[in-house]
Amino acid sequence: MTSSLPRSETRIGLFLVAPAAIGLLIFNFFPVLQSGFFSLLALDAGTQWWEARFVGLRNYSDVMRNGLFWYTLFFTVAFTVAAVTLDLTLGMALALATFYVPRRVRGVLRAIIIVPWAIPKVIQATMWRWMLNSDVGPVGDMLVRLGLADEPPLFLVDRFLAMGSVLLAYTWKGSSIAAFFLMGGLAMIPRDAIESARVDGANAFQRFFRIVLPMVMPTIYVALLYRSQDALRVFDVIYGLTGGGPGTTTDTLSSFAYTTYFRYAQFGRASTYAVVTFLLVAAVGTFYIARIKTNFNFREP
Amino acid sequence: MKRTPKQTCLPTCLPTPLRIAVAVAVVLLVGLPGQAVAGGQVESDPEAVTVTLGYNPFLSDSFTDAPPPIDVIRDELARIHPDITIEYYTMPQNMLEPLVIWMTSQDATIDIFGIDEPWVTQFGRARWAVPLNDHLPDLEDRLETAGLDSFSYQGDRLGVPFWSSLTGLFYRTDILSEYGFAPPETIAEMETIITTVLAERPELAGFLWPGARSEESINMFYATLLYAFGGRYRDTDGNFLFDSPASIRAVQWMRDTIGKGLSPRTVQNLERLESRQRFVAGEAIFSWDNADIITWLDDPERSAVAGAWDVIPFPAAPGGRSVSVTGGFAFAANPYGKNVDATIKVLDVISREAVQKGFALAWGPVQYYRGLYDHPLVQDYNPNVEKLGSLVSIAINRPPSQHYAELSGMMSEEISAAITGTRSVEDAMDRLAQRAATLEGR
Repeated sequence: MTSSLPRSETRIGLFLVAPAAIGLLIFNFFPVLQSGFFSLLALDAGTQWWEARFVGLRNYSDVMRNGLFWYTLFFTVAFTVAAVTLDLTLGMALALATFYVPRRVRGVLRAIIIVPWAIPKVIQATMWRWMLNSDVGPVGDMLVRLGLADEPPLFLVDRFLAMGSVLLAYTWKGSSIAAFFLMGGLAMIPRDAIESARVDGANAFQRFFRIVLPMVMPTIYVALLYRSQDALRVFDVIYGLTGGGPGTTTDTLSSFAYTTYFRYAQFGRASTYAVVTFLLVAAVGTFYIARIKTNFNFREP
Repeated sequence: MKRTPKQTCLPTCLPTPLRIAVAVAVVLLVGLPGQAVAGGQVESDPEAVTVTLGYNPFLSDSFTDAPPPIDVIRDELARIHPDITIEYYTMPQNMLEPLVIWMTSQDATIDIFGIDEPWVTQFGRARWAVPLNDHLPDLEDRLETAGLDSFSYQGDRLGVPFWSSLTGLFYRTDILSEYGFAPPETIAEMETIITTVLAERPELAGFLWPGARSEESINMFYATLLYAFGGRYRDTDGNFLFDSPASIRAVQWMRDTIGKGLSPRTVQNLERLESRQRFVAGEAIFSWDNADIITWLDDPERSAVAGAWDVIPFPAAPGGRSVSVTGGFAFAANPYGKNVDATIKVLDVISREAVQKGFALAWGPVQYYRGLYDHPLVQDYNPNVEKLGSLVSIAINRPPSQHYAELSGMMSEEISAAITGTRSVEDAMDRLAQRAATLEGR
């Protein structure tokens, strides 16, 4: 259904949106365009962009020939799939729990959910680095005390454990953010619908999958979009927890771009990594937004 | 033109609180700038120049009862150049990131910045530091050549060193004497000592070294071992020798220390601070570390091993030689700064004895100022400085490369992969050799 807006209302709308749109153009779109341009140049610390040699797509072909890039791309995508799945599953469980626990516990549970969200990512990484420390960390100690391990596992040294560790640390915060989104979605479901289903004899399983899940789906898509884009760009947690190690096991596209830009000052090549990451994030965003549009009733002018 | 009632009403028709607020605002707007002009030094002296200096928070710290270095710099500057003042711009621990952003945008926020040894080739190639050779010809007379060389690029002196480190093997004198051992002269002797002591005291760590990929220390430790096992960085044609037998033995030995239980398993991910914390806490027999740990080790309030430690050159295997790897910071001048002349004057002051002595008193060794450690007060504040003499004579720099920042990243990635078993030692060092060759050929 469409409805036409009066011209004055359209003007006011455009006027109100203009500051944000200008900000987005300057701070979001300009750097993207600049990175795209720089990725076509042989640009490093010793060259100004106007002096740099135009190399066309050579940076891209160099990147494509780099085995480390393909491994990093694979790890980034695999990490995103695993992290988003865990984020949303745990987030949904936490969000549902806040509606079904006794009222007195509800506030405490919501506070517990907020804490990981409120902690800055760098501090989160440092905290988990200590928690997973094999000498003094409580996680390894607990496993030994419970008889689940003979000695504390080398969480940040063994490559598979290191991958699991960054996933765990990331999900700890991510699930709290997802729960935040989903609590909002769940709160908007009319209780009548659930009560009617209960009166009609639907069990909890049926009520969740037939009533709750379809009604909360638009929120899930938004959470999915937000968490996927965040996971594809993951940097802080990995940088603080493993530094990309052991070896290059937990390097991601963002950490690759960061190192190439800041440590190596190879701006052309770093821009190429940034553009590839952007394209990946944009593709995922476009896909989700296309799906979301069918679930929302946007007001058309 | 006749005034309208609305215009004449403005001062008087406002409510009383608002009138008071307007009056206060007018007084502030009119009065304060006058006050500032009258009382401010900058405005009253047209010749005054402010030079901004960017460094991490340590510059305002002193690890002794001596004044912090920033105060010493300011005092000396006030004495020699009273027209120049310093504004200390506290930067984060990781200073490289903002520096790269500033330099690429030719920013003049800071005039002087701290430069770490591994960044020198990158900054030199990019012309991100003013060559000081012509501006400060006295540098050569004041500071040891080795220190100036550490911060030089293709002959250009890019920094005034104010603090440096040398690596060595720190050990517990009380434990070695308890078990009747002399300090080890070979790697085999060191292994024997660790094995013997750990057999009776398994709660101790035998040998600590920082193996985390995220730090440059792993490369410095590798360099130590490379020479200890008879290797060197490059062959006579200039090719890197990362895949040489000595290089592979060096990395294999790192791995063996863990396999044989000489080092705790966690060294594979240990950062330098964590490694030294454990040694200072009295939890280890040996530790490979930088000499800047000395002031900490000797502080009885913070160290469990005060008076019970010593440092020696890292032992070598037969056919190898002991080396000490250099590190440290210097101050460099921003070529895009607005006050290059005043900046050079400040760097001149920093290179003088008074300021270098200030660093030695507040931070401990090592400074490169010639003859600084003959000074009685410096000796008084640094009673262990003589222990470093044996390290100075065998000091080497890190692998020479025009692309050291990238080479350093590759080294830490591949060495980390090798010591954690992510790749075999041979595979990792082969890969490193190939990557380094590609980098050098670029």
